[in-house]
Amino acid sequence: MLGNQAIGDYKYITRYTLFPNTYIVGDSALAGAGFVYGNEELRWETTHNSNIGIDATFLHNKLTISADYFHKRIKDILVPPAIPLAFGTQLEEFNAGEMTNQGWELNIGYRFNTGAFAHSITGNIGDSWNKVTKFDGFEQISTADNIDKLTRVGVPLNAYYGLKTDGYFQSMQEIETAALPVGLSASDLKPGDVKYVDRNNDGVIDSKDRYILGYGFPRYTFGLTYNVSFKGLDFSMFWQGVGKRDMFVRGELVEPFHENYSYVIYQHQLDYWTPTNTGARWPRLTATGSPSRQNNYGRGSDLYQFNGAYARLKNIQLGYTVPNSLTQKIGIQKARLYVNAQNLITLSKESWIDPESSEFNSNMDGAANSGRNYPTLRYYGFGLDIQF
Amino acid sequence: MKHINFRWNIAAFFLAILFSNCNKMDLQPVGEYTDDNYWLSAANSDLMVNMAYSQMYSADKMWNDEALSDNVFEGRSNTSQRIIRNGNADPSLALFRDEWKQGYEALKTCHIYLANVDRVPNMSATFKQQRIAEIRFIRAYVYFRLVNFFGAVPFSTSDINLAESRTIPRTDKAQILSFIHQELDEVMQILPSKNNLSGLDKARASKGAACALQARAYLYESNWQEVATYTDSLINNPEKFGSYSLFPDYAGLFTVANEYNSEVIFDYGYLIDKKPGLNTTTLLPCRWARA
Repeated sequence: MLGNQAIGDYKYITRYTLFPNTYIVGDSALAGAGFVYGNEELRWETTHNSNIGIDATFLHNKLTISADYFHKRIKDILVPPAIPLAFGTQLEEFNAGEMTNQGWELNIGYRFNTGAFAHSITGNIGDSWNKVTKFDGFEQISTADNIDKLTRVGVPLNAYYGLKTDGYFQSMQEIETAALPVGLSASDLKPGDVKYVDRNNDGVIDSKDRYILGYGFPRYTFGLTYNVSFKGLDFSMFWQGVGKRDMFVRGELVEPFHENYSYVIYQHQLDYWTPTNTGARWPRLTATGSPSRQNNYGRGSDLYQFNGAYARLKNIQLGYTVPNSLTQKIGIQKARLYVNAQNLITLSKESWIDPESSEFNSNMDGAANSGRNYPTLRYYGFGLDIQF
Repeated sequence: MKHINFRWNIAAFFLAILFSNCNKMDLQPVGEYTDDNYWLSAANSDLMVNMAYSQMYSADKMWNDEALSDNVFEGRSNTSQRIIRNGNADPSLALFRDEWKQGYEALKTCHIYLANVDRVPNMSATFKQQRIAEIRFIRAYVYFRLVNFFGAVPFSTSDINLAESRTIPRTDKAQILSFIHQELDEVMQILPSKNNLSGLDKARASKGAACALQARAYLYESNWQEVATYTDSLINNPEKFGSYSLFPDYAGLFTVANEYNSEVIFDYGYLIDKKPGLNTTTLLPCRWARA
């Protein structure tokens, strides 16, 4: 059982804070004061951890296997609870949540020789998933830009929540008979605009038609290292990736001519709907502020959802060690030349965004991902190791 | 045997330290205001009144409210106001939530002030009465905004706790409006005349402000008779409300140089460098914009 130390001080008492520049009179800015409610019933979070694992070696240490399973139950999680806005203030962290987190990990290593080649392969794969088991107020929807995230009992933390698209309208007749977002009429839209699923069949698309669309937490994370040496030559590579993840991206990378961001269109957005390109990946191009734009991009939907699975060659290296018999003549113990590269190859469904970019920090929160992070660098290098 | 004694002595020593520390533990932070020490000064209590004024309205609200109509077009992004004006809003629109939230935040500040002001020592009775009247004016203003936007809303005249906030029902708009009318009638008698407000008090609610708000509240109910009564009263009783007159230069009415001029009934303070609001460079009168 463990607690959590990342908790602020004095959260159990009501505190008053002063704010400068609260109310203005003439040229003077008067200070004001606000209060933060304390919670006298504050308790520590507790974490119940259970682990089970095995380590085994086979074939004279050539094959090593280790497997782990963990189950973690976190009780009394300190989170701001969902409370009625009519209460008039937010509460700070409260012992409002309970969740479980479980997963497994498998490490396999194998060493073997083929002729003069000495190989070594190590691979690891792991998976973990969580579920909210208790939340004060049952559920909470947090919205950042137009991406909604849902915290609900029985569902993984911060699940993506939004409308489901049903392709693009292909004809005016289709628009006239379909359920449209509230406030839009058939004459506002054109073929090539996004069609949504009317989940409750009430003839209008609104916030009641939202689905749980996906989960941003990575599943099946893996790594693979391969080393081989042959006489003086050595080669190694390291792959890393995620087997399954839903990635929500918003902003100019998804919406062409996105407002407030230079109104650009990127190359990957060129496969847009036209009367002659009806099977397009993206909806038709629309004017900023038009009803079609509001329909297509105005609310969170699976249009913003992408496959976040990837595999990346993080590191690859080729080296040559000059034979000892040569180097020792000039007083050098070891001389090794090598070339290496990092992030040389990335296999991913979406070439236009770094699959490692995410809005989630280690606490599984953060605003929406606009993919505006500094990209992962591709690095090429060479070197010379000399030991005297 | 000697060894055992020695160990017991050490154990007793550490136990003594442990318990003496427990007893001395300071449960209240010294560097922060808490419920125990905040309300011990009139200056502190006035800071809460300033917060209530700040939460009552804002420059952002003024411009954004205009952007709901065809008076102002916000040209930079697809704001909630534009979505409402285009008829595309649904209940998940952020503005609906925010207006509700901000209204109840202001009400909480008012109610917390009313619940604690009597704890403030050495506050003169007239001063206290004036501040309470200001808070009641702000509360009436906030309820007025809430019922205009939402109709029936949760209603209470004192602070509600978390359990109450989960169960509080909505009260009819008419009932809340009659509370607003009654409050404004009362505070109108207590608040100072505009003529008696000077210096930093110019931005405070006055008798005239309460009377004008009363007239507006009746106006929104189409109660023309009461509108006429209150506006006539405000116009014809300068000895009670203070002297108001039309400012001679209409364009000059809105300039900084003419703050708190003779035509102003209630001037909500604004300073762009001290309390920046909405970036008005992106606002356009609608006739210049293509919405």
